[in-house]
This record gives sequence, C-alpha cells and structure tokens, in this order.
Amino acid sequence: MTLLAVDNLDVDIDGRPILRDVGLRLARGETLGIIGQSGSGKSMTALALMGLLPEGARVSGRIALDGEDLLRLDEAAMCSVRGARIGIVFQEPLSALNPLMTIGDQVAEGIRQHRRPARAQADALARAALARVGLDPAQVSPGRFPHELSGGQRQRVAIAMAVAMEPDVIIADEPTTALDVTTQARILDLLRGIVRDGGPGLLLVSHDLGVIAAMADRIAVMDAGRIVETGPAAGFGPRVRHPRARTLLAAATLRAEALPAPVTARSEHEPPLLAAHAVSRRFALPRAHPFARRTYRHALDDVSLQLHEGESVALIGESGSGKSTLARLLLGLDRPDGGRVTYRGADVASLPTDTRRRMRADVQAVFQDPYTSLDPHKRAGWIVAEPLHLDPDAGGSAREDRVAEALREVGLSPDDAKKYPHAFSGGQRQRIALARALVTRPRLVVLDEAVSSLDVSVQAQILDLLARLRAGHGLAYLFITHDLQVARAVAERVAVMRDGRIVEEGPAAQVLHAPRHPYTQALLAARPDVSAFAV
Amino acid sequence: MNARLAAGAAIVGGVCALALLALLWTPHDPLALNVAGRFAPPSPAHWLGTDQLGRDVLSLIMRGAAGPVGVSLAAVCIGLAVGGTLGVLAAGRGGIGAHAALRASDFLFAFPALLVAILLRETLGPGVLNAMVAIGIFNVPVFTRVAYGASLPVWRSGYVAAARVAGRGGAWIGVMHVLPNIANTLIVQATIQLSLGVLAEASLSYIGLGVQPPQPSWGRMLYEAQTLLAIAPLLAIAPGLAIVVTVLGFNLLGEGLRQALDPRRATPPEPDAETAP
Amino acid sequence: MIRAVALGLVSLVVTLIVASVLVFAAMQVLPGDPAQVMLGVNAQPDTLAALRAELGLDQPAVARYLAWISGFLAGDLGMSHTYGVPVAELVGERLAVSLPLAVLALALSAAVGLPLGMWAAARRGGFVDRAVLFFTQLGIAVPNFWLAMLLVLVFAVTWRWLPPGGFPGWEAGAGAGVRALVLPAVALAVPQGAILAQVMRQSLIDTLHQDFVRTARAKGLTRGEALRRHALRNAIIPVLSVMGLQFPFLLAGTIIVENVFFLPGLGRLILQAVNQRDLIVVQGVVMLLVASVAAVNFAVNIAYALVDPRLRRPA
Repeated sequence: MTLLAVDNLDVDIDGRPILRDVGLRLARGETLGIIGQSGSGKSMTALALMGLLPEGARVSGRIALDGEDLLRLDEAAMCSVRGARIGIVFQEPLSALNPLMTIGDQVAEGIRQHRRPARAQADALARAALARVGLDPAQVSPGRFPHELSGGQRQRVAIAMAVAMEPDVIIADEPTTALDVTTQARILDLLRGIVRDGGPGLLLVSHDLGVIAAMADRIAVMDAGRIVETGPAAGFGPRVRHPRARTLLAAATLRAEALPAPVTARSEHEPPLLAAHAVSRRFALPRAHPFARRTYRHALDDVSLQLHEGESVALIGESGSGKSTLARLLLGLDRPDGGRVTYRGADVASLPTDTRRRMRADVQAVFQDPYTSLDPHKRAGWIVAEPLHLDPDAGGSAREDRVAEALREVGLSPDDAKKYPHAFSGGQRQRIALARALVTRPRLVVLDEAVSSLDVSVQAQILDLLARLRAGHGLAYLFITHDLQVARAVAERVAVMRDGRIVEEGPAAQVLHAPRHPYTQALLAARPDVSAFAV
Repeated sequence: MNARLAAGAAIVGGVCALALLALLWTPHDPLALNVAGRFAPPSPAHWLGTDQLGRDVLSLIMRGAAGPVGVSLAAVCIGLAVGGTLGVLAAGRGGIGAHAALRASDFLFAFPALLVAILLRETLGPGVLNAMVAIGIFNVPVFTRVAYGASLPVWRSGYVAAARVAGRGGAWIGVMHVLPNIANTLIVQATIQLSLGVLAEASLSYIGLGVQPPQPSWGRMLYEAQTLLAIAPLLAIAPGLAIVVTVLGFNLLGEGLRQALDPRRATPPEPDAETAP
Repeated sequence: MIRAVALGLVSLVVTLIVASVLVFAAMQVLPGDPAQVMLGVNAQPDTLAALRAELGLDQPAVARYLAWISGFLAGDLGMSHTYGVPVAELVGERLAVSLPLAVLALALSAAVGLPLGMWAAARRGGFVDRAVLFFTQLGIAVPNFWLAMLLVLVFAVTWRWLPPGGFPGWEAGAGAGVRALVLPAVALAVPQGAILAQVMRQSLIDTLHQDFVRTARAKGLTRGEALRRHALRNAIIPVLSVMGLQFPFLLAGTIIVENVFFLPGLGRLILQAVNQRDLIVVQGVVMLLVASVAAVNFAVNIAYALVDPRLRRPA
C-alpha cells in the first residue's frame, strides 16, 4: 500500500509561490527519485514533508503518512514524527553536524528523544546504527568529533542519524553532491542496502541524473515548483513529453557523446607552450605544540605535464588530489618548491618582463565559481578589459572594440558591458569570465572546474561554446575537472591525478575506455550509467 | 532607506551642524561669566539655565560638541590609515610578516586607552592632540582586524586570481579590487568607532585630558557638575544627554549602514533558463 | 589541549616581556625627575644627586630594567617615592577595592546581559526582542561615569539608600564594603552588559540558522531543545572573545568610576602617582594591569579550547 501520499501541496514563502500542486506517492521499499535544476523546488518539497520550512512559509494540501495527514498535526505531534517516522539526510555533511558534539552523542540523541531509554542503552543503539552505516566503533570511535572525519564518513554519520530510529520514510536531499565520485558510489550503495533490508521508502532528491539513474525505481521531474513528469525509471527517457523535462534529460545524457574538435596540426619539435617539469609543492601543517617539528602535506609530488599548441587536455582528480595546485603553478599564481614550470621552453621563474607579458597574454584562465570570479563592484566591460593592458594593440578606441568582440564571441551582447555582475545568471557570468580570458587572444585557456557549479543544461551550452571557440581559434585547453563526462566530452588527452601524483596519462579514448591504473578503473566504475535515460 | 539609517543620519547631521554653527554663533558667549546670574533655571533667555559661574549651558553644550566629534573623527582617520593599510597588506602578503603585524596590533589591546592618554599627556603636555592620538592608537588594532578579516576572502577570490592571470600586480589589485570590496565594511566599522570615540573623548575630558579650559567640553562640564549634584542636577543631566544622543546617533547610523550596504540584499540574478537559446 | 595551552603560554610570556620593556621605556620618556619632584625646586644639587643614587636613578637603563623586572617576578615592586611604603603593599591595599569591583561588574554584566541576549534571540522580531534591542542601544550609548552620577543622584542623594561614595574598608564588615561597591559596579556593568546582550543575541540568531540546528530539529527535537542543546554552546564562542576584549575596557572604566565614587582603588592610585611622578608606582600598576589583561586573554583562549573540540583536537 502507499506509505506516503502527497496531494495538491502548495507552499508560499513571504507571498512568493514556491511549490504548486505537488503530488507524490511512495511505497515501502521503493526509491522515488526527484530530479530538477537548482531552484526548481525539490529541496523545499523535502523540507515541507519534514515540517521544517523556513519562517514565513504557508502550506496547504495534504501530506499523508500511513493515512495520517501530517499537515493537521500540531508542533508537538510533528516532533514525534520527525526522526522517528521520517528521517532526513541533508546535503552538506560538515555543516549538518554539530561541531561541538561527538558523533556517538549526535546519533544517540534522536534515540533518546523518542524512546527515552537508559543512557547506556541509547549509546549501544547508537553504536549499532554507526556500525550499520559502515562506521565500525572499533575503528571509528563514537567519541570522535565531526572535524576528525572525512567527508564520506560525515555523510555516513548523517545517514546513521536518519536510520537509527528505523523510520518509515527516509528523505535524502542531495546526499552525495558534496562528495567525490568514488565516495558517492559507496554512499549510494549504503542507501540502497538500507532500503532493501529495512523496507523504508526512500525519497532521493538530486540534480544529478547519474545518481537518480543509479538508485530510483520511479522518477519525478520538478521544474519551477511543479512536478512536470513522473513515471517508472525503466524506459523513463523515451516516455518524457514535457519540454523542460526533455531539455534537462537531453543535456544530461547527450553530453557524453559530444566529440572533441579535430586535432590541429602541430610540430613535434617545438617546445610545449606550457609545461610542468617534475614540480612539487608542499604545505606546512599546524604543529602539535610550538616546539614540535614541522610536518608537511605534499600537495604535488614530482608531477610533469606538457601542454602543446592547439591541444585539449583534461586533468581529472577528486578534491584534494592536487589538480588545482598544479593549475595555480602553471598559471604562475604560486611557485613550486621543487621542479620548474616552462613557457615555450623557458623557465617562468626567470622570464624577462616582455616575455612574461606575452605569457600572460597567451595563457588565460576561467575559474570555478561564477559568483566569486567577477568583482561585484566592476561593470562587465571593465572586467573583460582588465587583461588588455598586456596587448599593445588594444589602446584607446580599440579597447572598446575588443571588449565588444569578446562579448559577442561568448554569446553576449556588447550592451552587457555596462551591467554589473549581479545582473547576470551563473551561466552568463561564466561567459563573461570566458570573454575576459579570450580578450587577449590567448593560445591556452586553463579551465579550473569551469562548468562544475552550473546546472546540466547550462553546462552543455558552455561546453558547446568552448568547442566552437576552439574550432575557430585553434585554442588549447587544460580542463581541470572531477567530472569524467566533461573530460570525455572535451579532451583528446587525459591525465588522472591522485594524492599529488599523476597516476595515468594518455589519449582520452584509451584512458577513459580501457584504463590501466586501478584508480582510474575505480573512478570509471563509480560513475553511474545514464544512457538509458536518453530522450 | 531604513528607519535606523534615517534616524542615525538625522542625529549625526544635527550634531555636526550644531558643532559647526557654534563656531560662528551661539545664543550667548559660552565663555562669558556672570556670577550674579549663576544657577539660573531654564528660561526663554537661557533654555537650559546657567551654570555655577553663570555661563549659558546651551551655548556651552553647542560649543562643546566640536571636541568629541572632532577628536573621534581624527582618531578614526588614524585608525583607518594605519590599521586599514596594515590589515589589507597583511591579508595580501600572508606569511610571517602578516602574523607579526596582527600580533603587534592585538598587543595594543592590552593597554587600556586611558593609560595611553595619561602617559601621552605627560610627554606631549595636555591638549586635544593627545586625546586624538590615544583614541587613534586604540582604533588601530580594530581596523587592522576588520580590514584583515574583510580583505582575506577578497585576496583569495576568483577575481583576484583572474586579475593576477591578467598580469596585474599587487598594488593594482589592492586599489582596484580589494579596497572597493571592503569599503562598506570599513565604513560601518568607522561609524561604530566614531561612537566609541565620542564616549572615550568624554571620559578623557572628564579627567582633564582632552580639550583644555576655558574651551567648554562635555566631559569636564560633567566633572564640574559632579560636586553640585545635590543643588543643580540639570548641570549634570544636560551634557550627559548630549553625549548619549551623539553616541546613539553614530550607533544607529552604523547599524543602518550595515543593513543598507549588506551585499546579501542585492537584487537577485536572472534565472539561467533565460539564457537558453 | 596541550597545543592550546602551550600556544597560549608562549603568547602570554612573549606579551609580558614585550609589555614590560614598553612600559619601562615609556617611563624613561616621561619628562620630570622623580628626585626633583620629591625634593621640590629649591633642592641642593648634592642632596639631589644623593637621592638619585639612593633611588638607583644613576644606573644605566638596562640595569634598572633588569633590577625592576627581577624584583617584579619576586613580588617586590620597589618602594614608592611619595608614600614611602613598598609598592606591593600599596597595590595590595588598592587591589582589595578594584578587584572585587571589576569582578562584581563583570559578573553583573554577564548575569544580566547573556540571558537577555538569549531571550531576545529566541523571540526574534517579537516584543521582547525589540525591547532588548532598544534598551541595549541606550545602554551602549551611556558613558559609565555619567550613569554613575545619575545613580548617585537617585539612590544616594534623593533616596539615601546607598552611600554616595567613599569606601569604609573591609574592616568595617563585608556588608558595608559591598554596599559601597554596588553603585560603581552597576555603573560599570550596564554598558558592558548591553554589549554582551547584543553580541549574544546576534551570535545565537546566526547559529540558529546553521544546518546542524535543522538536523537537530529533524531528529525530533523541539525548537527550544535544539536551541538549548545545540545552538547555545556554539553561540557562546564569539561571546567569549568579546568578554575577553571587554576586560581592558572594564579596567579603564574603573579608573574613572573610582574617581566618581572616591574609591581608593588602583585607578585613583595611578592618577595620583602620575601627578606626583611616582614612576615606580606607575610602572608597577601599569605592568600589573597589562599582565592581568594578558592573563585574561590566556584564560579566554583556554576556555575556547574547552568549548571547541576543533581547537582541542585539531584533525
């Protein structure tokens, strides 16, 4: 029978409509995946089910759990539902845990709240819950604090809190978005196991089709506060009719098949445009006491990478692998502790001023977060023009023309030059950052997770734009990414980083289809297959 | 404009206008003694009465406004110039130097401002200048901390990294990117320090370390009124209220500005859907 | 924990060393010769020289610094030129007034300010919140010495409930002593308590918006339970640092408020000593004040580490 039935759910916050006419069904042992872009209302749906909407929210409709309408319960009755009958796992595993309380106490707290057992018994139940999510108390003490755990372990604690009371419904709101792919795969396995043995219904909210595809029995697509499409996961793609849902699925599935631009001819004898030769970089760790010996974290250890004219290279790695540190060294934002970085064969540490300016004009970059990579106090035109002092041909009136040209090239209008960054969306901001990188007519653009914070459909547009620009100008790219799909879509050559070393490097087709190194194999295996959802 | 900002701006504007006006005109000569007419109660001729020497209290208060406002303004300028620069540089450079600068400025906190003022009087002689310097010294660590904290995320932001990739140097980045982005924070802190400065100036002139007689000052008016508390309480109430209103004005202005300049209140961006071709 | 204590101790020692050098140097810069002040302007040059030798003023600065600081560490702060008694004894007497006053004021401001701030945050936007905001705004704007005068006017002059000033000494009984300190302590505590209430309120409001409070609610805790068990401990951390910063203000405040109430405390001692060029007293008292500020900072850092496991056990 239906465990959870939501009908005609409307939510307004401070008079703004947030959810409209949301209807859902969830049975025991079933996983319902809710997919949608950011702002589509999927997280608000989760909070509405928990009765934890922000202040100023007005709710109407019906949320029936085993036939009992939760919206009619008073606050005290709702407190006995939360945690005991509906558990939730939030996105950010660090901020969702109280930093001042041990993980054992945090798990035991929910048990004590609902069952009021003796302290020792609550602790024993908490240990059992932690063991069930793979945190064996013998290895990971329940007396640890959240900051002493890894991201994946923290998310396991959050799951332990949600499952400790054996609730009927578990809501997981983007449970793996903040995690690396390999960790993501393990957390998804864990959730799948819990649904299988305990028989609760799982409501899985995600923007990531891969996660939904790996988990869901049924799928609901949300857009602008409404559920626009719903049905069984098997054969879901081809059945989708709603245009926004089709766009979303198309963007998320087709990207894997996009082909890289043709390789531009280059001379093998020329020195590489930019190269790292056996570079290493270490950072000092905090000392136990002022007289202790300094210890270091080796962010980069003997890494070499060559980037040639016209080549598109992807540097793949999970967070902490050292890929961004390598990018900073290549861009001259940081210096290596060992080894050297060369520009057209010359060590960048000792470049004469004019060559250094030419290198700056030749090597540009786009950074990850479109919300912090543009100075909020400067107009778009000023931002795009900032590198133009490097180009002696861009003085006076030529300046404005170059800015207009760069803006047009990335699909914006020259009139946009007068606007401030806050007037643009995330995707448009990334276009402005790209225009700034192109305005000096560079030979190489380093893209540090440049699309990873964008919604899939916008991601697809930006990747498409990058491919066209490359075809037009013969640009070389260095893509730094944790996303194998992005790497597959854009790169001719791939390097895989782990723990400060490059573990595998080679042509994209070989590394991504027949990897040799076990870590690359694990990365590939962890990536859920979404091809069944092509529309 | 929010209510606090409006109220704060009105009060601060009013106090500053009175202080300026008092340089040109006051109802009576604030320095004119009239022993026969001392301790006069409030009347149409003397709105706030007269003091123990027959001086007009309203005129004294008007003329006395210049001290706290001027001193705290100068002290904030000292704090901003030294502390602001130090904080921005420390955040931009990092390393041992930054650490040392922060520790040194924290160290100043350990010296109560009043002691510094007392010692300064002994070396520089009494006067307004040592009040300015003593309060200014105390402002330095505050602005160092605030400027450091506010500019650190700016120095680490994507747009500063992009400016470096664009071949821009530290000076350009500091002036073109960091300062505009921390200006709001500094302005808000400056108004808070102004209100603390008014309080501190009043304390200093109460123990004779600020504006020197015969020029009137609120703090010393309170000192003189203290022994007369039983016979003329109004002499103690009027200057005290002047201090409270001025401090309240700066505080309201600071909070109003904080609200008005809060970047989280910026207009929301367009949704991405509209960029779809 | 060892790391926090060790770091705190190192910074405490460094602060004290640098401060002692600065204080000593400042005293050297002060114009005026203590011997001259003691003997008056008509003193004979040879008596003056003899006195200077007796006071050790003819020694080089480094030697005098070392003598002073080694005495300081042994608890010997030298002899006061004007009072003719050991400085340590003088300071001890005055401390018997100033220390209870500062402690009373700090306790009062925390006892009133912290609960008010929590209450306002829990009822954010409501009547209580607005009332607390209004009165704390006012409390912050009031100079403590003016408040002291108003308190005297109301409670001592008009109603005659409490003494208007002076200190009977602890020999007169604890009750009489405390009665003499009530008004000064209230005058000192009101502005500090208002600041504490505002900081507490803001910190608690910020913490209540954190994800882990939502997690606690998702476990079935009521709003009040989530506030008490999760938000409060986290919110107290910034409040601790403000309390540490307030201590120097409180000390400076006592100097003035002691004047209003004619209390024989450290503040009055230092003002008199400066006027009489009793450098050895000034030096000792300033050093003592700076040392107490540094010690309070050390205590605050330890308290941080006790509350926050991230400082106690860095990952």
